[in-house]
Amino acid sequence: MEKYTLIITEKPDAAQRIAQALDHKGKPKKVEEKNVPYFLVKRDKPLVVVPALGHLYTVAHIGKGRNYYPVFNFKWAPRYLAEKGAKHIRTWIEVVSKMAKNAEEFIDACDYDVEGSLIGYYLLKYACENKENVAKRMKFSTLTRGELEKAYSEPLLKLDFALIEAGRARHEVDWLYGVNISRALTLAAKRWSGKYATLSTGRVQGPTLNFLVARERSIRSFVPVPYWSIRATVDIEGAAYEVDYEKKTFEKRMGADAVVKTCKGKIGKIEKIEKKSTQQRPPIPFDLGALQTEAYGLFGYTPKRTSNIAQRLYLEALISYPRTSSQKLPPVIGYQAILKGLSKERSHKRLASELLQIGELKPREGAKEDPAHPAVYPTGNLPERPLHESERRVWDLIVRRFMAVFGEPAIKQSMKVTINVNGHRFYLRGRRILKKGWMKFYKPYIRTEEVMLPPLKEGETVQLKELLREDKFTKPPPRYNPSSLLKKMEEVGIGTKATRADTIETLYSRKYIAEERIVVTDLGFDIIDVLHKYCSGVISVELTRELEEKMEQIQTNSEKRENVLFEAVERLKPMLEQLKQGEAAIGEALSNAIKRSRIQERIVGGCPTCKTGKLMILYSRKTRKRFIGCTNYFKNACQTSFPLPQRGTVKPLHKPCKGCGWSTLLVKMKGRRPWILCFNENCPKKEERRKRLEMQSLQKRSSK
Amino acid sequence: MKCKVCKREAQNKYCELHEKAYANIMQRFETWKNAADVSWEQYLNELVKNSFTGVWAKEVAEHLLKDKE
Repeated sequence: MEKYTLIITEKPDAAQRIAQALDHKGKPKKVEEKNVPYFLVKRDKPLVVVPALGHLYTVAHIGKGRNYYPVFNFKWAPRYLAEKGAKHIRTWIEVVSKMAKNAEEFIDACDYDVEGSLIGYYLLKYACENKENVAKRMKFSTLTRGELEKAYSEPLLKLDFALIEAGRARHEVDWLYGVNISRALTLAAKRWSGKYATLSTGRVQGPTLNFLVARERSIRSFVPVPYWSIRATVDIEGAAYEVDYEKKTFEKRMGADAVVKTCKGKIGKIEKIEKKSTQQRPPIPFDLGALQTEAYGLFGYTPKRTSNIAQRLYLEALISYPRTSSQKLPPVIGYQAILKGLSKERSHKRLASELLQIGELKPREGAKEDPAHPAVYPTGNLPERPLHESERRVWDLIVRRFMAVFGEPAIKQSMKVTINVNGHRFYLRGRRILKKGWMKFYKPYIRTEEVMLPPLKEGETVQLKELLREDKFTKPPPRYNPSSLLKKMEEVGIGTKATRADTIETLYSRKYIAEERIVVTDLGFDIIDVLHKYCSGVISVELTRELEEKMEQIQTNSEKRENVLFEAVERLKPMLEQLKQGEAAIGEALSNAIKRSRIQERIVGGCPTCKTGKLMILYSRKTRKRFIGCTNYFKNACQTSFPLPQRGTVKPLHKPCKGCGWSTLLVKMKGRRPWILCFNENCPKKEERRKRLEMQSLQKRSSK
Repeated sequence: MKCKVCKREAQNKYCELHEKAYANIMQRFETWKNAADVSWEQYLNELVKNSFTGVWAKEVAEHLLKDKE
């Protein structure tokens, strides 16, 4: 067989796109071997593009067994040797190895970031047998034909070893912390209760959960304080306008009452009208964090969901590489070409064409830079298939933000009218946009509203229409949501743009937190209690941030991976010793917390019969069959019970039934779509369904 | 010693969690008294009813009311 160049990509989708871009007819031949796809590309010389499947190698413990700690000896090994359920990785690596045998040149075309660099490095090192030092590197930020052609014809002559070292250090430090402390917690609970439950924490997970616990504590011990304010409206030409009283809050009720008494029903005189114009500069380009925050605020998408959607858009060459922390858009990306591409699409045509009329396009940029990639931007390519609603929204958001950064500043005018009522001042406020500037490009996503006021003159009088004292209370600090938590992680500098969303998901899957407006569970509290008592270092932001900084220094060749690892182990050792010493107490605390959490998971809602007990999923002692019963059953105080399906899984949904308001459950059975079960036999929805089915069968019979 | 509210380990009357809520209740009473002219009992009743009061603060307020009876 003729010798060829082997190009390694991160995922199959990227392989296909790269192969299409490099093939001289744009039609590479797809071959599948043992379900592993690769592409044969015809060019001046033959190319084979073979994908990885994300990480094929991982950090693994050298040694056997999982029931002990500390473990400090590790190696990089194929995932199928280290993880359950990764058998398919073996075939994948075998196919890559086979393709490597006949290759004369190697190119790493994985994403240009820490993770991508590691994926390519280990495939070249192990599957291709030490080709990491001879391989070239394609560097690109979009999967467009032009950029891929350029990256192929002008590759970097060697891999970015500093980036690889930083990636290795991150994975190895995370493994050391994660494996050791998670094992310590899991084993403590298992040795105490005899039951196994996975408990985990890590270098980023610990401090993140700690923020949430701190916030939860202040919410749960919050004591509100009363205060009062004035709510008033004035009548102008038959329309009511809300006005603010000069003093926003009153600490004593009497103060607010006195204002109401003095001003009620009185006429006010316009004392002063002030107008102020302000410029609002365009927004800055999206980095991943800002995109996730905006998508959460506008569409309610979790950071993880946005990140997944953005990744799909990137793989379809619609946007640039999304896992970036840059807020810069260098001219080299070709603003004009992108806008020309976008102007071919109906919904962006007018605005893109408008920008193309401007002589020199200059984006507003933020301060943050990323050495590997620019900010997120649209490539100018148009979708080749109908996008799903969520993909369409995120793409449109990125397109509009890209256009907005080139817009002129918007000019806003605010108006403040001071009304004197019996010596008390009220303010009527209006705001309007004088010049839209960048706002016209970003219009559907702008959340400020205009408040238009009628023409007014100083000296005119207005009638106070409504005047009320409002009783208010101070509020507890707001709960974090996935987006604000991600922002907090960014602010304090823990985790990376690629891993933060996953860390939040892990906290949910471990049941340390629940709900969208995040509530910490008892298990979450107890984990932090234990960590606080026995190894407070692992929940300290400072320690995590210091390690993050050192890992970034590796990336710039100003720190060595070995030093960072040595320091991490030295810090970990005393923590593990303390955990070992307190094993019995930790085991007891965690086992109790797990028990409470499992009971909590089975609670369906309040009992509709006795009103004091709770309905719970219970198991019959005789038959072991499951049913819903009241917690007062065991006190012989309430006999309420309901049957449950015996197959599949049943999980309380904590959402009321739309028909009757009772609690509902989610039932999942093999081979069937999950369904929501209302266990109220007299639920009107059930009656409706029964009637509908009867009607359908009658119609069937009559048609026969 | 056990916490009067949740039976967790406690050094004083309340565990660490309820102790913080208790401290907040004590600290805010003066503000409430000045602002709305309420008695201690009215204050505790208000806290129990108020939707912004934290769960632990509510539990302590309920316990303090019961203790008085």
